[in-house]
Amino acid sequence: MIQMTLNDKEIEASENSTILEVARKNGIDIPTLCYHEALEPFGVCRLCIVEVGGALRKGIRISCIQNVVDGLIVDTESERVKRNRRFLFELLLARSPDSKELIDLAAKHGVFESRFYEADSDDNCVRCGLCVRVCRDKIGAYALCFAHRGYDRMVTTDFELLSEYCIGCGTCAQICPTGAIKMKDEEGERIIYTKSVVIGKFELETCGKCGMPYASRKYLDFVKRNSDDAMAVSVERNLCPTCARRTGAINLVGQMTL
Amino acid sequence: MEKERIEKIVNKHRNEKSAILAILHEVQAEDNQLNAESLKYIALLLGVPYANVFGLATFYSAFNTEKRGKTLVRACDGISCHINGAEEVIKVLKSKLNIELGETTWDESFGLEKVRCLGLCSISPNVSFNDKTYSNLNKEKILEILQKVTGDSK
Amino acid sequence: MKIKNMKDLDKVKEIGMKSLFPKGPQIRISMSTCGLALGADDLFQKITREKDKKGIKISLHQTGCSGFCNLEPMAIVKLPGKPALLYTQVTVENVEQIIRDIKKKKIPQKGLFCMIGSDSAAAKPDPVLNAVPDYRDASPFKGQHRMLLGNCGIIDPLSVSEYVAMAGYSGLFKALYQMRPEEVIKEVVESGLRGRGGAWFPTGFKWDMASKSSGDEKFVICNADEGDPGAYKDRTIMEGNPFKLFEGIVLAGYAIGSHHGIIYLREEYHHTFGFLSNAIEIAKRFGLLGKNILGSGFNFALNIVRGGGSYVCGEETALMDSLEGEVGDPRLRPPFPIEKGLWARPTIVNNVETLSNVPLIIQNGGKWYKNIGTEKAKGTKILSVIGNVKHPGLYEIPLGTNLKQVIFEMAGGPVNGKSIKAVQVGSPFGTFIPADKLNVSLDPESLREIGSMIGSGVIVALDQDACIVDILHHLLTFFVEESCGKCVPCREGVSRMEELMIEIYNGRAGMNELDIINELGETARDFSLCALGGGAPAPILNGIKDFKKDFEAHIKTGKCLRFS
Repeated sequence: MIQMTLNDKEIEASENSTILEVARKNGIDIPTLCYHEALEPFGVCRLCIVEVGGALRKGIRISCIQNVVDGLIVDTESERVKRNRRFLFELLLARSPDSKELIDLAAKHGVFESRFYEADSDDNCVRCGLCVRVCRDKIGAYALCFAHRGYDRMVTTDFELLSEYCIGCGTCAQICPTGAIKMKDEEGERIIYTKSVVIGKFELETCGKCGMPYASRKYLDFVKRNSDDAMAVSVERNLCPTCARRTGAINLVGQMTL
Repeated sequence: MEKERIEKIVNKHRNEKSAILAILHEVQAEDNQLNAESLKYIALLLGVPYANVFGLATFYSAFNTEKRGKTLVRACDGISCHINGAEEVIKVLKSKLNIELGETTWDESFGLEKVRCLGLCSISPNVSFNDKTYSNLNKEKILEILQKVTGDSK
Repeated sequence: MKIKNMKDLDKVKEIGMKSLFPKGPQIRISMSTCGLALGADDLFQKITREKDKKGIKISLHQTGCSGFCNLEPMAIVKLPGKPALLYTQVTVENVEQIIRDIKKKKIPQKGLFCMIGSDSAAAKPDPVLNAVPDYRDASPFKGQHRMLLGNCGIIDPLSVSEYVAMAGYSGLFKALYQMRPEEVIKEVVESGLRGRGGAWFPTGFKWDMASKSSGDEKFVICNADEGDPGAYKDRTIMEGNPFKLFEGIVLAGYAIGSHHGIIYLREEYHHTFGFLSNAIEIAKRFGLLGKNILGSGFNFALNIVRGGGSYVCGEETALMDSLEGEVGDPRLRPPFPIEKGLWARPTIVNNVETLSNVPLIIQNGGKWYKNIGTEKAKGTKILSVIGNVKHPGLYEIPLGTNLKQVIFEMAGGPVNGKSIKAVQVGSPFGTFIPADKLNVSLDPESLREIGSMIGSGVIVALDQDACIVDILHHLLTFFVEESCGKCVPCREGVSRMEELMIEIYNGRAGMNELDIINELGETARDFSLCALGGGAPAPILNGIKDFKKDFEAHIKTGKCLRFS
């Protein structure tokens, strides 16, 4: 354990944890978009900036990357942090003015307006890369990528067409912090899409017990391929998560998604 | 491009994933484009997801996923070229070729691109037509060169 | 032949001396990218035809670029018993006269610029040459300290023997036969050499750390992604004296215990790619790359990889991503490349200019090297002086040379009796130094004191007709086009700055917007992931502060001073 100061309070924290982790554990709210416990830090949204001093050279740090050290002083709400965080929120809102999630997050941190609203922008994506990374690093499907660069950088599928790699798990839609990727299950069909591209489109398999459409064939095959025998067996039994749980089978879907 | 040609290029680089930039350069040099078909086949041969290859091909400005002109006109707009009148030169290129930056003429004979510095800063502005570079340009000189290159005496 | 020992090296040296100081007449044509752009190819062919027609034996060689492309095509004519003579702006039309003169053993007059090596033993004084200066006294070479560029434009860049004749490979030979790797590092540390790519990190320190990192494999990356617009020093070294660079790379490999080097070359240098690939093959044939280098038992393979046209890839971590076949996004640090670099192996990334210094340091010792330069910045720096000066070009100067002297004396000052308005040192990220503050020493420390930087050495001179708004607009467009888009401050922030600057340029926005640009600039400067977004605001914020008049003109009238 190490001793440090967090917003004027002396606290103990375990080393090998980031400032963000320590702050959240101590009930301090630092906004993030590109951070997720299950993934490696990416450090691109820059919202989690904090001001440090003491054991580290005085200045600004990205709290999702910077580990705590003994004698560290952290201020998560300094004037400098607040002013710049406001700017970052304004910049993000300018491009994604319709994202309810983003509006709420900004409001929570005192930002209600942007000086930079872009005409007709309906792009909810903030390029945090959670979807691309979870699809690649956790699911291993590689359906999504960043294409183009700079201001035109965007999340899309290969060739901006229906992806051959997508297995229809829907994790990307689930992890998206701004509602830019959506998933819809309708009439036995699942569509995963953004405003510009349909990522995946699948007919859903129906549950062997209750008859509810619940997962794509590709996803079930994927689970079978990538899991141990016990799991594979329960996939064979073709049960939806609810029925599987009810029958005591392993909750596959719950484990595979986040 | 035919699959055999792509295979040959990929084999030359011993199917190494890290050689993908070199492979893309070579395929594009032969085919004047990196279309979806070629990119997918390259990905397949290297065992790389399509999405990665697509990301690469769109990130780097040297790669074109659409057919580009047989003669690629690259107008330099580095700081030295800018100071010495690159705007005028680019204007002439756009109007004479009748395309915007990043576009290709209808007959696919010319493509026009802007580059940031060809590294010939003390003889700027510069424009290259494929591998031939012309320097110390101005409005009149670029017109002359265009006439020579297009064989058009308008 | 493979050079396997001192005897071989001496033999090659002898061949090189004969080639540099031939018995018969000789012509050398500068055939780098710039020479070729200005017709060196035609010139070469014409000379070949003409000498065959006239039936005289003239040995014909290629050389690289000397850094003054505006004097191209250049030719060096060497007559027996005379010093080598440099001719500038030689045209195809001059050729017949030149060949006629050579046949009559006369010195061609047209285009004669200066003498090279007038003090060499082989040269006898000639009354015709009384008025012709030696190149050390001829502007724009005057006042330079050409340690790195000295051979560029003179020796045949693809001739190992000519490079060896100019003391080439004596450093590597010494290192491989007489020094342990840690001794090589010690010399580099002692020399005080710092990275010339723009960050000015102590090279020896980097090597020392990399040598101590453990890994089954280590890499030496030569950063030749010379992306700063206005810079072409690396191209000039690579096309003018590639073996010096290779020697430096192998020395780096030996020092840190690496057997694999990669030159990451920017995509825009088409000619350089083919040229360097060729040079690598030649070096292999001479046993200067590959297995058992110089017969010492040390192995080192060198590859060359072409970039894809992305400025960010000049940043070392993005460069490594690009080498691994990925999109060139800057990585988070730590871990640093010296611990986990290319393919997670210890890696050093050094600029072309930095590595080219190393053979000189090993050859002459770190003590010798540190006599050049300032207290904290040792050696020379190649500046690319461009814009509104009489002699734009590459100036290799000892660090600590006065900026005013470079602009007004060496580069000849402004053209057509105009006055200098400002000079951007370290373009694109450096600030604009107003004309009355040019009395400053060119070294990283002195420039940092006045809030500027030397960067990779691009110096943009702007005269009274230039408009800072126009230049800032140009720079912002560049930054926006080259942003990778990974982090918010750079992707969104700098884009908004550009947008607002366009509005101001067109007179559609006012002081209020200028304030917002300032604030956005601060956010981008402090919170960007890499040096592109972090560095972009500096010239913008400084330009707004120091050149209010230019902004007022745009805001009030929507007119650019540049066109008024």
